Amino acid sequence: MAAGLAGAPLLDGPLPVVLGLAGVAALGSLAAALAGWWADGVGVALVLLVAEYGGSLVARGPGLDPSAPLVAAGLLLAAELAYWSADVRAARAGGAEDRAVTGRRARRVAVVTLSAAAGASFLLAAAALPRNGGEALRVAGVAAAAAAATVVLALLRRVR
Amino acid sequence: MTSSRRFHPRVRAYACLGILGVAGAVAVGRPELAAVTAPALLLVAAGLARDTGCGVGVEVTLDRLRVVEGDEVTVRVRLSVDRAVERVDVALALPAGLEPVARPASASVAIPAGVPRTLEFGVRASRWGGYGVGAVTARATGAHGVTVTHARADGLTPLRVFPRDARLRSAIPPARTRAAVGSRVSRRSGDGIEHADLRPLQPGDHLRSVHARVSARRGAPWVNDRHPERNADVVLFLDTFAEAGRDLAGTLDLAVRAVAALATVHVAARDRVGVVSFGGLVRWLPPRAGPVQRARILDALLDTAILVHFATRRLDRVAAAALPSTALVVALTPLLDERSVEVLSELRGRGLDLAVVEVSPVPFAPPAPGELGELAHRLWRLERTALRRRFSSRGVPVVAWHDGQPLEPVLAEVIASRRAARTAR
Repeated sequence: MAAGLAGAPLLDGPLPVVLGLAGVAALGSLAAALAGWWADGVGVALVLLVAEYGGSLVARGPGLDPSAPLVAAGLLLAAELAYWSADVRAARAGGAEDRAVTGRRARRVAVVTLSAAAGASFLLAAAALPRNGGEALRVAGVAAAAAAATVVLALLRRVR
Repeated sequence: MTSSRRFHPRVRAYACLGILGVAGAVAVGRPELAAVTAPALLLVAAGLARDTGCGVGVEVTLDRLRVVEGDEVTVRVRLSVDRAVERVDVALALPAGLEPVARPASASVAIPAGVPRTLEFGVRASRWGGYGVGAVTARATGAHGVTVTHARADGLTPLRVFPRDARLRSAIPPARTRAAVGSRVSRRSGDGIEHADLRPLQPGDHLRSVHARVSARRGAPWVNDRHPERNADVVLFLDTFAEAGRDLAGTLDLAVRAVAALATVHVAARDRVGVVSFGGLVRWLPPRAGPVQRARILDALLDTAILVHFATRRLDRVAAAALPSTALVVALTPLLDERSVEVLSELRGRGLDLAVVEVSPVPFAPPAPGELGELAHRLWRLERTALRRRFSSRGVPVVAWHDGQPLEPVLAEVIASRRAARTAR
């Protein structure tokens, strides 16, 4: 899945070398995380894959990319499967996992993937609407992004 | 029970991804970046809003607290959670000497909120000793995969694993017996089964002791004199100054097994058996008879360990009741420490009936590689031979017992050596 995400931008033509290296580094981080050598490898791989995707968008020029929902779904699916593998190793279960647990995990991964695709489609559709708000709309967008980040940080502090 | 709560690694990863993605989208003006990364951010926010961790209960019980080597014990782990969780990962850590029957001793299970679930793990006791069982860790992952609650069970349940006795057919016959009734033929004469002698009737003799034919021939009443059955005091002397070994096997392991086997056979012969553990820690059990004493001895053996200590130890540390003057003292020692040699000499000097079984450290101490190593090892073995001869010259036979060799023939050699030593005197 991650290899597909790293290689997909190449289908639209050659990319700058640095973006290719970002993809390779992402795969390396993910492999290290799956081998149990680097706990944060999954997160770093996700950031590198998104950086590669963002760079390919900029290199390609203007125009919305209709495959963004697929990229969102693929990203979260790869992450959830990687964390599943890491959790099994951390639990030292050696495969002795309840069928109920496997079922719950599979359901959650499916819900996350579909939600990611749906959410990305909604946001893309919203972005495709004509922008008549001008600078005010831009400011509102930045404020919404900042608010989302603030909410997350507040929730993190509350749960701690 | 101790517990702590942490975030799953996905929280940090998704939060960073979401924030960087949204910031990047604003910076480069590409809404696709926000579309791709915002779902991760929203996922984290939703999970944090609903998943605030849970309370995890862990209780550990054993189906048996006293077993013999090789037996299996069932460890029951009772888990409970007070909120819905995705799963609970359980792992049971076992000390060396205990091993799980089905590897690994861990599981990943689904537990509904408020409904306890009990897991069973089979554990095999592969070596004698006293163990604490109950080091269980449980990780409960929240229903949305955001929080992970770690819990550990408090306290350890003691499990006593007794050595599996080597069956001995005969014990070492002591040189002296006590006045109490037992199974040993005494050298004295009196009431008993074994014929000792014929003598003239004396006041107090039973009429049924009269030997009719001899009395008729002599014209005066003569009686049968017999050897009475008596018991004896046996003290098992365990040298805990030092040991040689590899992993869990070693001279101390062999010595403890030998003490257990000797205690069993001597208690069965109705002797009074005691134990003295002499080394860095000095402990003793005065001689007593009966199966309860055997159980006490085995219990005391489980706590035997080598405590490295450099002070000299003398026998006056041991209570007089633990070393009766008429006792047979069977010493089990690797003869590695000079202090143990001195103590054995002191025992002999007190006039105690002493037999020494040398638990040979040679199999556990291979020579260092090279010619010098071989030479040093040979010199060491020659020194040990000289030490054995020194004891033999003082009337104390020392018989070496090697790992893998049954104990019965070693004891037969001890008995034969003692007989030869008595004859030589």
